[in-house]
Amino acid sequence: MIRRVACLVGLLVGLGSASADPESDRQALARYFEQRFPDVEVVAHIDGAYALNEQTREQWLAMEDFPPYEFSVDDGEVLFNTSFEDGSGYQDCFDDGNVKARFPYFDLEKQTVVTLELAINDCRAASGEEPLAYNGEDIALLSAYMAFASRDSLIDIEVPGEGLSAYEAGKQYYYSRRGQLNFSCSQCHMLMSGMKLRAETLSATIGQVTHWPVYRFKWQEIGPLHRRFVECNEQVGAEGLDYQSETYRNLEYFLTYMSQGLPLNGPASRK
Amino acid sequence: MNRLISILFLLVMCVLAQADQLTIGSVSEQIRQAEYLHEEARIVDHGWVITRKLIEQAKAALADDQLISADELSKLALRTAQASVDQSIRQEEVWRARIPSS
Repeated sequence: MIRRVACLVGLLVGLGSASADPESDRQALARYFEQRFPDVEVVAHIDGAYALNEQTREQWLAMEDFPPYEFSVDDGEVLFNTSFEDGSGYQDCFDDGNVKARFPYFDLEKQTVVTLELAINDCRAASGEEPLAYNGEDIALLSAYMAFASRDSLIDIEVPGEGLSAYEAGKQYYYSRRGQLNFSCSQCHMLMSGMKLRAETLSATIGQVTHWPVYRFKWQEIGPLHRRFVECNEQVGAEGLDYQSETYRNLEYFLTYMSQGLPLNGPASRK
Repeated sequence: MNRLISILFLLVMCVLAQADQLTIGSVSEQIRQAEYLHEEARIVDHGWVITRKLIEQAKAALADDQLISADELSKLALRTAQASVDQSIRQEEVWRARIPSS
């Protein structure tokens, strides 16, 4: 009898940990990084690797005096304020553009994760406009402007019951090894965070989504988070997926919840 | 000297025999199997870049009538495709172990 009860308790505990709620996940992850980097406040991770390396941080801060994404924000503002053919515009969907803190969200009607980029195209479709290419310049510029307009807002997204499977799918993606090198996202950005991979310091999971889109010197232009996902995948020998694919949207959903409550600081510049 | 000639003769015969067994059909079948497994891995987001490259190279070699090269490449493709499928199955079982405990 005792053995049976013990088995039942064990099973319930096991199930509990297997389907931990997003807030428990977030708190556990925050504790992980607090222990890993006791001298770095959790909120400081919004600066990515520059929160972990004093020398590169100084160089980066000097670079931020004349940020390379400045023109992208200006161009994005022009696009944002340009009316559609039917007279409506982005303001009708996103007010003044300060909306990024609530993205991505789980759309109960569509039963899918809606990112800011997806919402931009939904907004266009509602006015009879052609969708923008997710790997194109215009959508990066628009989201750069909206990220700038949303600066300092705290990430405030929800994971409703119906959105849990999307959240879990994103979480599974993050913790699964893939590619010929057999690496998971978590290996680089948890276990090896703060360490060097060639000349680069690896950033922490927390704060990874707060500063997108990003002007990367490697790209010589501003680009979206999903472009970085593709790059990460290919760096470990895995095939990158389509921008705004369901898998990447779920991954963004999980990562954003892990940064819940942190201030937005996009767009940003990175090497 | 005679022994050396015999060994060389046997070696040549072995190579020729192997080449005889290779047909466009058998190599095409290997490529098809590699493509199938690669797609199985891709469906669950576990496709590998190297598999796609090897499949393309094997197809190119086959189109160029380089049967031995196409055979080697398609075998490699098959091996990496199988490894990617194995990885996806294994990760399904173990990914939760990497989550920090609450």
